[in-house]
Amino acid sequence: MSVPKLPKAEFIHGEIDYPEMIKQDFRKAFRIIVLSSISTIAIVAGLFVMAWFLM
Amino acid sequence: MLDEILVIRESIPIFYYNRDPKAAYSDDHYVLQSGFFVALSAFANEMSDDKLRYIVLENKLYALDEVSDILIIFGDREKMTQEVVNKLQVDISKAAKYLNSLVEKYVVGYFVPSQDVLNKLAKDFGDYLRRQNLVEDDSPFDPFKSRSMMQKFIFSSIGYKPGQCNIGQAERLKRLIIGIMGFVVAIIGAILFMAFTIQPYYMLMLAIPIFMGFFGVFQYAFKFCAVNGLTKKYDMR
Repeated sequence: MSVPKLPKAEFIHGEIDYPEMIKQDFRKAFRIIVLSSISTIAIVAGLFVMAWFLM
Repeated sequence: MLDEILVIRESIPIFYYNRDPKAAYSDDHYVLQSGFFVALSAFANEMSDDKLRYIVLENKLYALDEVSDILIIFGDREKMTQEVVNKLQVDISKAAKYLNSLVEKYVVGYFVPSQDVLNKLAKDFGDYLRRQNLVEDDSPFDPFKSRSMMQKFIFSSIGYKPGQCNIGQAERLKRLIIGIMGFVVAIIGAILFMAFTIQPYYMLMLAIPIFMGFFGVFQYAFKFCAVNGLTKKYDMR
């Protein structure tokens, strides 16, 4: 039996094939996209209104 | 995070050892599975179904092949005291001896033992583990569940959490840089549009870099790559 000091893990990227994990990831990805979209719409609308009155 | 691992090589088929099933999902105990036993070739087949081909060994993920004869136990530096290790070693040694005697008893004469023989062997070995108080969970072996548990353990050891974190530090930084670049482009664009007094409608063009900015920054903040999430991938680099 040995208790080695551990090197950095390899193969730490790959694909997921478990439906429940895929679902959770999908939901989170969707949330991030929606949040980014809402933030973008808010900022662009603000800029547009500002430009409308300035120009 | 997994920070220590014990590797024990025995010339026996793989079996899993677990004294504390309640801690099966914990990062800080030596746990893998409930105490079931499967023939090595059967186990390899389970894992070669394009589902899970990896096993953690010395904190690296390796493909498992049919010639592997390893028992792998994960542990935490603080919890895995020398007494625990010694006890574990004795327990495993006893179990390995018993398993070898079972293999001699059941498998002798068979070049490729039938599933029926393996089932008998597994049942006998499972009974022994329970008698010796080496396992507490006697639920029947469920290949899908066990593979799922194994994969979850691996994910846990590398930091991937479904729906919470699917990218590592380097990948997060990449997304932060992309996000900042998006905002910089948007700010420069806004200044130029203002300076040249172009139609306010042109401001709508800034939606693309602003979206890139938010998208990158949110992914950095949430430790989560949306594209990976949509394409069923993880990247913990």
